[in-house]
Amino acid sequence: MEIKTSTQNGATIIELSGSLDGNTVNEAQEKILPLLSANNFSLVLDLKSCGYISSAGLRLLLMAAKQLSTQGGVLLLSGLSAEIKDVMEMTGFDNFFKTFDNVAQALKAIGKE
Amino acid sequence: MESKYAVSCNNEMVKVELCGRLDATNTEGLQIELKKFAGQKIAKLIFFAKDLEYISSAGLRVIIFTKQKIGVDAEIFLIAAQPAILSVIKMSGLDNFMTIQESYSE
Amino acid sequence: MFRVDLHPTHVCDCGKFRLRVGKPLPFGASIVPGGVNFSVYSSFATSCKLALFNKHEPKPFCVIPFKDEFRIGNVFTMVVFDLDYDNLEYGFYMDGPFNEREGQRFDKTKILMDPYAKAIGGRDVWGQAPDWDNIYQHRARICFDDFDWENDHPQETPVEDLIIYETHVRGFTKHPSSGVKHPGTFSGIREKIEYLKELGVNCVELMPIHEFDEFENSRPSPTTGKMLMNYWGYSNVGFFAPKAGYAATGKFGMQADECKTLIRELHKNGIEVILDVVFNHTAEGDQRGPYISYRGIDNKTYYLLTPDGYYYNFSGCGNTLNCNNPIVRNMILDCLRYWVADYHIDGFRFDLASILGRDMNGAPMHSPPLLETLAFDPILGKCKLIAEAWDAGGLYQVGCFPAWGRWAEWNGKYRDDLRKFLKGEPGMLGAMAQRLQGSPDLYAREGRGATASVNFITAHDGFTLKDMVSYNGKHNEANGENNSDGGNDNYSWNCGWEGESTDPEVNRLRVKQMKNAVAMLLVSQGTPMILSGDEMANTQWGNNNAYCQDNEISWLDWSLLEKNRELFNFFRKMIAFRRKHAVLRSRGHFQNRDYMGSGFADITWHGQKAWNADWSDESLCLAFVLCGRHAKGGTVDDNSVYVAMNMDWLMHGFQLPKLPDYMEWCVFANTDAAAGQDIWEPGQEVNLDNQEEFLVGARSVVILMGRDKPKNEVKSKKKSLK
Repeated sequence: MEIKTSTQNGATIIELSGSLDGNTVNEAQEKILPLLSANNFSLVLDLKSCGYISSAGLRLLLMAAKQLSTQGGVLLLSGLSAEIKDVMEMTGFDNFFKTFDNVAQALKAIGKE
Repeated sequence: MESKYAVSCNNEMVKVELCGRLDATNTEGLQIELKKFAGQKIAKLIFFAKDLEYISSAGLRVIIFTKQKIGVDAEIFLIAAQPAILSVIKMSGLDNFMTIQESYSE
Repeated sequence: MFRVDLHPTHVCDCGKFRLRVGKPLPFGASIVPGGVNFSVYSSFATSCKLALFNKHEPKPFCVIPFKDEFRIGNVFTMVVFDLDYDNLEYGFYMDGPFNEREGQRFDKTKILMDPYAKAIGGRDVWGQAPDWDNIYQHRARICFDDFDWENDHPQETPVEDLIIYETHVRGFTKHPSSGVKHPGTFSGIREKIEYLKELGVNCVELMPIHEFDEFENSRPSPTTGKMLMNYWGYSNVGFFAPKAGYAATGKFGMQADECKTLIRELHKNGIEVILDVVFNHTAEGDQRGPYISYRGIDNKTYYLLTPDGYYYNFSGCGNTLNCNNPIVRNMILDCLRYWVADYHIDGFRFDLASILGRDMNGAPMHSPPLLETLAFDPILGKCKLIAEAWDAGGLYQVGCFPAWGRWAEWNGKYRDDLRKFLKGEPGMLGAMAQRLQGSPDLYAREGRGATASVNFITAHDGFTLKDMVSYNGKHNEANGENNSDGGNDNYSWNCGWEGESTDPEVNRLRVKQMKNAVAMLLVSQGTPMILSGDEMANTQWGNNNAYCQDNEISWLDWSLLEKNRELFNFFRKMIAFRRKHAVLRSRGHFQNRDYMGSGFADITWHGQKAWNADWSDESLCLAFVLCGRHAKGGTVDDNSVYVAMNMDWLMHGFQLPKLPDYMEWCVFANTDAAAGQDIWEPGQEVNLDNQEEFLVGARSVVILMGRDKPKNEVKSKKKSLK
């Protein structure tokens, strides 16, 4: 799994490629947590190259979303595959995120296009 | 055909021969005859209907309610009933309470 | 916060994992910071080893013995750090005595599933053939026990206000006609929540959702060639885990979340969830059966054994769980508490519950400790407890199931009496009067009230409602047992033709009989239960024991909904009527007197003559009035309701009891009327011109409601009296 961070128009974008599961979730947590600090109100997590998210992975995303929301921010997910979206909906995880087809649309939503 | 009936009983079996019509004019009499067996152990209640031409509601009731009176565990048989009679039995749903056969042998 | 007791003290032999002694509670596998706490008990094991697998791999990648210092009493417990628990399956090797007569059957070569496993792998996708050679078929997994319930809290709907809808998770949406995205799953049910709301039920009772093996006893059908499966699921592999094969996300191991999401959504929509639980036996069978878990972990504790060490079989399924053994009793309590606390379940229906009242030698107990414990447990304090009050060993306890004021029962007598009455069997009026009132003859003795009775005409066991009016006898040939399986006392009547019919008269009568059945069910005191699919005349083509039919026989055919809109609407309006009128939903039994001073006793009986029912054996007509002022024991003011039931093949006039001058009868339902006129939207009941007498058609049920006359009509009457 690879994690690439970039900024665009003042917004932080994290691109996650590969699988977010028990093997990779610790590493992902280590990389993402620092970015949830006070300076970042909204984060875009680009998952277009992420093929699979396990239970542990979903919980990491949820934890990030909740932490951001206590800071007044929101976690935006972009590029989710149809299958992953479906899984999130079935397991009750869809309520906590805003999802978009791609990074551009996500940025537009937070006014940073 | 003259309307009449004949009731006999032996070996825990009550046999009723029916002839002509079974309706309000003669059902009460038949019921009184059948009530005589109340309290005895009755395994089968067999109605021979080859010569039965017509059965009214009252007649149907006698057949069904006799089971209540003289043999809750008794099996009811209707033997050699004519098509018109069978049709009435079916329409009233009473075929569910009895075994319908062409003939009867011990 | 740093905890001193989460510091590793040992390393396992292969060097991969650090260990320390664990905590005995909770039993099972629990995630702790940095690791997993494993805890398993056995009264007679001499040693235990933990086997760790990567998901789906045939052999363990690591086996860790529980050291002597990792044992507290009879509990083996340790924390294993550094595990990837998302990808993990685990099991236990247990060693101990083998002595059949003594009931000891330890086998140290077997890998055993954790009895407290909260998630189980091995049957991740329904019907997907497993590797039969694998030594460890049903595998314990770690389950995330966190879930965001948002504001979900138990509805605590009073049991008498419930309208229970019994359904099978897979069968409910598996048929392609269901149109859901993930047929046969928890998510599938979720897609049908709007339908359930439209129907108006406020409670679903799910047939067993704990992990079971659908391949148990699987064999090809001699008549169709299709595989017969363990479809209903009355056979437990694991008590604490939802069936993976019932979840669309089961292949990802997310069945717990998917199940909880379903429950959360049902609750949001005002629908409670009751689980059918099977504590009477396990899937291990008798001594010839497989080692899944309990036999290898603690055979003597878990099972009722004969003095020779064989398995008692009060369940009819090979073994009997030793429910009143204190250890098993605690496991059952832990299990139910877990489902209530973690899954927010609202109630339980106990399969073959009479087994729960047998002692360690199989003898029925007067005051079974397990049932008493459940009745008084604080976590279960607001749960519905429903017993199927019989077992396969001859114990039949309907009416005398030990209750402590908490337990309700599936009232098998209600089912039988109502079916007999419906088909026109004479001599049923006395029994019907009892059933309609919530069966005081069975339940009043111990002050149990109408809430003790769960009334039903159909359930998964037996005919569907459509088949009950279409078949005189069962047709289970497809089950492969020469039609010898399944009950024979169906008390059904085919309305003149056996099976599918094109005769419009027969079909019209069948629809009417189904309406009669549901009308009587929903005006009875007690808690009604409806079988899923009856509202659209679902058929199993006469199979009254479809436990093994994983196909169109059992799957609900949703195309029937449009074909049977008339029947569905009847169900919907009857349910709405019951929900609207508290007079139909008393907690206690009637007192048969007028304690509110309304002029009517709480319940009065009528027949063709008002105030005078004909109770004789020849009579097939009965009517009753529920006085609205006496609703819920006089605490609620409701409309009065009059119900006339004519099960004769001829029509009869029913004289109506007179209401006070300012009230009138209006018509809510008449099953003899044509479609569109047979039942009205509650609140839109139609005027009745003739307030003296109602001509009730053959085999029909009429429901009238008492309401205040329009004000001007009363005034004008007063004027004319001057």
